[in-house]
Amino acid sequence: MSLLEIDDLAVTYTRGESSVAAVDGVSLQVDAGEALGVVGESGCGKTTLGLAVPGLLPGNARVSGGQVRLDGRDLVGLGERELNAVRWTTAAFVFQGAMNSLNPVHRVERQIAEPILAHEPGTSRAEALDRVRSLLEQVGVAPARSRSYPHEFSGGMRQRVMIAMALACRPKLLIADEPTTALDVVSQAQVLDVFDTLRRRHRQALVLISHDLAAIARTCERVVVMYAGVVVESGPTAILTPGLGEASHPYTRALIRSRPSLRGPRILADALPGHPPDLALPMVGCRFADRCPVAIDICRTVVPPTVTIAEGHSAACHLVSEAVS
Amino acid sequence: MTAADKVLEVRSLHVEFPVRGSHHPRRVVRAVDGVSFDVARSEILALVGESGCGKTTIAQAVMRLVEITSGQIVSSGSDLASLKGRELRRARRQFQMIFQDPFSSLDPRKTVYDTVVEPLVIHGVGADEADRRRRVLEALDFAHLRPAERLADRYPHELSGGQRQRVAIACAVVLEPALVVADEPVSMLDVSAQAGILRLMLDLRDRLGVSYLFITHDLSVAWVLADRIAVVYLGRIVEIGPVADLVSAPAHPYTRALLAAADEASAASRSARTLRGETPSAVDIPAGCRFRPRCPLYSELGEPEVCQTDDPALSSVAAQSGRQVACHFSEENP
Amino acid sequence: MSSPVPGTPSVPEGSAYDLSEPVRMRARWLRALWADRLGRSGLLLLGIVLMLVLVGPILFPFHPTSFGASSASILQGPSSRHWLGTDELGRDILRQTLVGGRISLLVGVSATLIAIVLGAGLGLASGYFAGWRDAVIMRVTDFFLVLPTLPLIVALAALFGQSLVITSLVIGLTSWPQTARIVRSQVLSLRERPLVQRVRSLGATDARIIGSHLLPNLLPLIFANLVLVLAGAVLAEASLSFLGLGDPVHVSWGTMLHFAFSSGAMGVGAWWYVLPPGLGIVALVMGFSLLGHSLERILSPRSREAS
Repeated sequence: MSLLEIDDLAVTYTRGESSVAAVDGVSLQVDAGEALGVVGESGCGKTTLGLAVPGLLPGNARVSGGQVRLDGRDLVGLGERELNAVRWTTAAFVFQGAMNSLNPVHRVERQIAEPILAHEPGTSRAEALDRVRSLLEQVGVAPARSRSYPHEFSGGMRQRVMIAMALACRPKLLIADEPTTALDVVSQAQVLDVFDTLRRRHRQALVLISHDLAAIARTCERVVVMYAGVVVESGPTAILTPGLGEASHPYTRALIRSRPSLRGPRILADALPGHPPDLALPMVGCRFADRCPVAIDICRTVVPPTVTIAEGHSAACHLVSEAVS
Repeated sequence: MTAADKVLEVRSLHVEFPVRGSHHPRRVVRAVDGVSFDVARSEILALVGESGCGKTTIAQAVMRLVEITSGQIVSSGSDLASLKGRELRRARRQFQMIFQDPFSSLDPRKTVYDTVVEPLVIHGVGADEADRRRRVLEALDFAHLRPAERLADRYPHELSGGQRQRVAIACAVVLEPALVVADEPVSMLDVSAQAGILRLMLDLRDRLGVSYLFITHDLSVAWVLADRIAVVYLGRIVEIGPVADLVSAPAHPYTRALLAAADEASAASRSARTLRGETPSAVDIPAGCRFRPRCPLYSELGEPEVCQTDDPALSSVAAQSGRQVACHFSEENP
Repeated sequence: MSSPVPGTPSVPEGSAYDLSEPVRMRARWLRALWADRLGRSGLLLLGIVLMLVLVGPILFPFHPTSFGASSASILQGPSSRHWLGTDELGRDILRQTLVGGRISLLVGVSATLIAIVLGAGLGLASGYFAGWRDAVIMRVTDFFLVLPTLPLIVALAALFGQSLVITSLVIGLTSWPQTARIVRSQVLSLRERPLVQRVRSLGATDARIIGSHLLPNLLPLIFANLVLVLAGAVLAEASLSFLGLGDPVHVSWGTMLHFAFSSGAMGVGAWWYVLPPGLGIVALVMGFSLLGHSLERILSPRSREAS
């Protein structure tokens, strides 16, 4: 059994009369010790997916179908108090811009110790602070700096402090939503290194949500590509790196092509034309068809089935299913 | 390159900010600490570095958005650093800027048309309202905001991030400037929108002959876009040169570290090469070479004394044209 | 890419867009006001008072010289002829109250306009130009802020005489500092926005930056503040007039209270003389305060981000 199993999950936002399925039937699994990347453009539903797991959806959103099982326990429909326990001890969440949510007037050690003291009653303050220091070490911040205030850290360091906080109660799964987006290359690399170390040394399971293909390619084993609320392709991260593997879905290919690479030739890729579809409108056929450079007639009328290309690699595309069959 | 081909010459630019709340009146942040470079007509020069290295301050100084402590910003024979008031406003027509955040750089209460026509109104360009309208629609079409007629009446919140950035670009080029300063113009956009914006910027260069000073932390973006790259560290250019040479054979250890961090395919050895530590504060710039505390080469070479005492100047690399590096041991390529 | 999903957290990508969406803004304000309990109470309260004060005198005109015929007609309690009784001169209280509200409102509004123009202007100049101009303006503001306003108003009114114009001026000239401070702090943050930097680098003059970009973005804030200043101004007018420093010819609610007090109406228990203007003042001040606080909440960037 996997650590995290999401089965046919749907999340619906309501505003006034209209409702929009931001996540529309997504299934995925994460095993213990595994790192899964979720990639897609903004608005594709990847953040909503991440928020749905620890029950952090905003007030106007609700799970309208499917199941989320974490460590054998069904999370959909749990009460706020039960979810709160799950949030720190089983699935911890680091969101985009988390580094700006540190309280400027408290030392970082106090802020990291807070969840430990709250969720593990019986822990003494000294024990908690000890653990804070080892957590900081894990994320590559000198333990001696535990008595600093957030403003004494750079953005990259604050983000690593947030990761340390998320790890405070030894969660089985860490969900990180765009943890590197606001950082520069070097800080990004340092944060990604932290994830590597956590996985190598502590077998920390990770869901990395990002629009940055490079970050996912270097950190995760498997990737799920989302478009307009659905999964269009999933497979080993090798498919993201030209030369190592090959992506099958035209959308994944377009994403890979649009990213300049230092290894690649000095030419600028063609931009993907158009915009993702308006999810409030009814969907007919493949959601990517309007922007797809290789779409054929059937794409606009029939929802493409998800077909397996190889062990652990599947895509939802009519052209792929034709090629496979 | 003759003087006539240059649209911008920056000479020993210094920008210092007082440290707020400091009791020492002379404690300053040396955000830009002696920077010189040129931009030729139709050239794209990328300034690359970590956040806090001073690259954005250089851009703002060129645009005269921050107070310049000393130095010259020469364009078509006159020193912009010394201009004031009306003359400065007039000179601004030649230089335009594109900002990182397309969400907050447009006025939420103005339509696309009102935003793009504003520079024309400010500088009194265009014979009449009809002429201005024609120019605005042309600029919008140019920026692939099509159909221009319809998009002109939209408000920023009705546009995607990529479209907003296109509006900002249309706004910058409607005056046909000589130089566009672009400060991380794609870093807040989706990957698929990024390529479109970069392509548009290249198009504008090819069609209008506009030059760019392109600020980015992302070497791979600089790699596909720029003609030359200047690597900025702690307020100083530590290496500058043609993009292909600089990427294939980086001479400064900091450039090598940046390349390693940006190269997604070097996964196997990446941990060893990730730059350790943080950029020191621009208040206390280390003595000698400013990169010394983080320099892998410095420790590999057994901590040579010259790195502790002498601040390396930017000097030409042997046998490579237009390539300059500020390192005592640039020839020691590991 | 803008997300088609309303409220998806991934939409703003780390951007701060507090002051946005001008088109549907007005309708949205009103809807938000109505949805807020405070805002709705304020709107209802003000609506009732305004209706009474604006339409009332047309239906029930007041004749200041229609004194009572005999001593039997003065300070009479409510009756079928005088619904709210009569004053010490035998005049109808209901009619007087309806007209008095107009005077209270008139002084309140004109004083507020003076205060807002002064406060917003000085706040803008102070925040935008910074440096020594900022320092000077802010010291003057601080000076006015710590002055005990009521005694000052009393002194000024005593010095310059009693007329609606003087009252409005005196209240207006002492009510601006709060506005100046609020506007200044908002300008300080707007000034550093990429928007202002971008327009400045286009070569725009200060006048254009302020008039065309800063001011329109400040208007919601100024409007919310205006409503609060109005509440204060109405109250200040009532206090002044109650102390006998109002215009004796144009009787406001405060002046009515003053006469009620000085004629000894309070002593003989003529509640019908005191209650109508008193309640009028309370309703007006409360209405404006509720509305102002509700507006402040709806328009403040922080609360909007959270919503």
